[in-house]
Amino acid sequence: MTVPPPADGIAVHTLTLQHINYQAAERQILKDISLHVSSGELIAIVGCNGAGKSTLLHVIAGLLPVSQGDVRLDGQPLSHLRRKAIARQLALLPQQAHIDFGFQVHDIVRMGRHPHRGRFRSASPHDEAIVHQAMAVTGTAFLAQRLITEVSSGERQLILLAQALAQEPQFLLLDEPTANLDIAHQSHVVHLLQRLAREGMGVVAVIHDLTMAVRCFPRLILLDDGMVVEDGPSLEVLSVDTIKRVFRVQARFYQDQEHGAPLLWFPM
Amino acid sequence: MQGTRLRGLLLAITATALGFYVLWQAASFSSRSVPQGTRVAGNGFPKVLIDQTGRRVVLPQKPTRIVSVTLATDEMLLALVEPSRLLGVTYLAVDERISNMPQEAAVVPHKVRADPEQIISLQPDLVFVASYLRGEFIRLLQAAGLVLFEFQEYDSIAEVERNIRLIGQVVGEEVRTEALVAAMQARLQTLEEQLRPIGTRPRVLYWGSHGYTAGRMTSMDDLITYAGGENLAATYGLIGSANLSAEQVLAMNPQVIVSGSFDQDGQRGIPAALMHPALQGTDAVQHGRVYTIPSRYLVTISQFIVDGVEVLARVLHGTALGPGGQL
Amino acid sequence: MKPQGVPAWASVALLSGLLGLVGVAALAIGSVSIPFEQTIAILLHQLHLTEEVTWTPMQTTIILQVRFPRVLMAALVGGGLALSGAVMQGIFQNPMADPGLLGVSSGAALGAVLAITLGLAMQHYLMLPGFAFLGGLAAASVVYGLATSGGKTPVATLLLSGVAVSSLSAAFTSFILTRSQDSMMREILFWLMGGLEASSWDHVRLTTPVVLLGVTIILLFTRDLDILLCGEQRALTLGVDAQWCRMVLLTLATAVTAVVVSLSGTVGFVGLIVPHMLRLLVGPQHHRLLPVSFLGGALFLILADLVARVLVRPQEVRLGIITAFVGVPFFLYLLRTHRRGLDPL
Repeated sequence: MTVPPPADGIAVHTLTLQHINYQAAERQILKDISLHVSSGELIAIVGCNGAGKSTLLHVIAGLLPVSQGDVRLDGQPLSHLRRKAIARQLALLPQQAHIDFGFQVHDIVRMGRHPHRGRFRSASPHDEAIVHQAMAVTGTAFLAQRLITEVSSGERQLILLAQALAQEPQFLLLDEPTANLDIAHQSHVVHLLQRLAREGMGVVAVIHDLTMAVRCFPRLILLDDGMVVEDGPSLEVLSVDTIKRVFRVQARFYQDQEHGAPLLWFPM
Repeated sequence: MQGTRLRGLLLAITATALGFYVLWQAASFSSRSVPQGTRVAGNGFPKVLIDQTGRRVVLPQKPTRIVSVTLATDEMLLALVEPSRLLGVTYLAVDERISNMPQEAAVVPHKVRADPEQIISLQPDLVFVASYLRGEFIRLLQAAGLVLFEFQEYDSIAEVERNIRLIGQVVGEEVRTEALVAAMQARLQTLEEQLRPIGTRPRVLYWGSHGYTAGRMTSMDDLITYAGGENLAATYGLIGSANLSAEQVLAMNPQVIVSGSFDQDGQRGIPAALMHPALQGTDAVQHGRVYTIPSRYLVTISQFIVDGVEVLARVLHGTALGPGGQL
Repeated sequence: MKPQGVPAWASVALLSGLLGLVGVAALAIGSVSIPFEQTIAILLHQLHLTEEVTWTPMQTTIILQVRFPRVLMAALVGGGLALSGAVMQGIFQNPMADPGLLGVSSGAALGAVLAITLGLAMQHYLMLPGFAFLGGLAAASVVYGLATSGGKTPVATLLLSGVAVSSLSAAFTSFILTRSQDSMMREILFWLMGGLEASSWDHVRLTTPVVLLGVTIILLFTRDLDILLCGEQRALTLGVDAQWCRMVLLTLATAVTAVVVSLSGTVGFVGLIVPHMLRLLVGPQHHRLLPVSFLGGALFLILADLVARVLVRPQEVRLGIITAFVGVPFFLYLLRTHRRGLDPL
């Protein structure tokens, strides 16, 4: 599947991984991984537990030191960029985040503007507008005055997503963004990610739910034991054989008559 | 923790410990050099007071509003100046347990503590302080424009006499001062003559509260020596005040143990603090030569140190001093 | 009460006003009674607002040379300690952290004790605070050095190093105490319990530049501190160079604490309790918490010093004792009534 051309006037940014090797506790977790992500792509990273999906995401975000290879943002290695510069272009939504201090939700989201604010500058109306929009788009505006310690885990997920959006990144990295959400919110988030990709953001998400991955994400990267096994259009990547080989599960594809979308079925 | 980290940590701690030990040893050398107190220049008035930093203050005339902030200077001033010139003495001066001149002190109009506000409010023209008061306190009084006299050396009878002379010079009472010092020396001389035939010096240990004793270069050392005793703490090489355990006292085996008490009269007997079972083995306890002496004799560094010497001599040598002696 | 609703400038203004009032009240009270109107008149005269002189030079001396520097020192010490405490609590993400965590207080105590027992304190009035300051800085440097490897300083290691160095300093201090003369011991113990009774303009001149500089720079890092509270990973992804920020903030907090402790002795509880109390009232956002902590700490210590002066006239109670007796019950009361912002802990 070809990458949809970005909307007019939006520059194309690239995120490249070349021969990434990552080790921890004397175990090789990522082995010689090379990837290329452009603006406007919507990618799901899938794989078994322990395949290295979260680690890969953290490496892309520049949080983990690699023993070999590098991550380049628009051709610039991350190691050559300052933290703030990286944060203006890359945002990461972690799998779980506990914040033990009673900040207001509004303030949490506003922290996402930090990469764009100089030390001596106070909050500008532009910053406030971005924050407001981020909260509106994630459906968290009604939580603005509440304390972060008082919201549910699903709501916290959405709030941190709003924070990530407030960074106005070119690339959004998400680690199981729908894990704690109810169905309505899952659908909401997926639609949001699709819209963001259409508008030019590069979205890379670690997804556990293969059904959702195949249905909603045009491109899939399949990770197995620290290596990229498949990287391409979702329906081609996730063939029944591949699923059997990697996940050791006999799956079946059904066609949704009404919408024409593929449905993945597993025996349970 | 990895091997190298642990080693580095141990190394750091050892280095720090060594560093502090070296500093500490250096301490015992440098603390011997005692800085000078205030000096006086000039006969008659005006006189110039030169403090230890070299700062000069002029005392234009005989001071008539004198405030004393230490007990020692209380006692010295009460003996040297007319009461009308003395504005304030310490609140300790009227305390019979520690002062040697409580009645004389009672008529002084103000009783002071180390309170800058109070002292300033008295508007004195001369204030006596000692270096054992906090340095910042002294500086504060100077900043407030008061004329200070600070004396520092007070660890021997010779130094006490020197201080008395200095004070006499500052307040313009040279004549009375010489008389006082002469009287002190005469009494000590008499005592020395009475002690000479006795020949031996008993081994004396002062063992005060919390087990503190006084070695060389303390006023206690002079007290014991002039009273005809041998200061065991000094014999054992202790300098200044030091802490001794009961075991160490037993090892030193004094013939006489002396401590101070705030009671009016010293009494013979074994005070509770000395009832340590280990001490039963000492000569002093076995011969019942454990004494408490009123603290006002033992801690004073004014002219009353001579009284202390006489009281201690009587305790040490008793009737051996012979009838007709001053005691 | 909805504390977060109060804008930052309002709480700062309120506290500043309160501070001014309490400061003037503290100037008017002392062991020598000076009528309140005289005190005000003397102050106004200094500001060239009145020409009439109805008081004696002696009263002026007491107010301006004795009480004024003392009240200023109380403000600087209290504010400095509270601000450092707030910074420490932010960096260590733990509301029970206090300025002494990196061994500054124990190092300063050791330095002071050394100065006293070496007889240097008697020689020059700057010896005692100088040694205390160096001791505090040295201890903090050792702690930081021990905890840093490969350019990284993990917070947990920092904490443990701090505990180790503090204990070591305290052990040395005790050892030196047992070997010291009687008169020195009194002075040492007095210093260890904290007190401002001999504060003069010298002290103010020494403290003010360091404290003001520290406060100013620390206030530039309020947003970073907020983000640091959300965790190391969050901080990095939001563009905060956690390592560098922590180093800058710790250095400043250490310097401010060292300077303040070297002049006032070790005054406990201010750095722990004041920011903690205020966090319960104004929330964890540092652009509000830090200035409020400073002002609150200043206010607290001026009041504590006032109580120390008048409680058992004419003697003075040691400042550290007052802060403990006042701080702890108030803090317990606050804990019971305001549980917001603390729950998960």
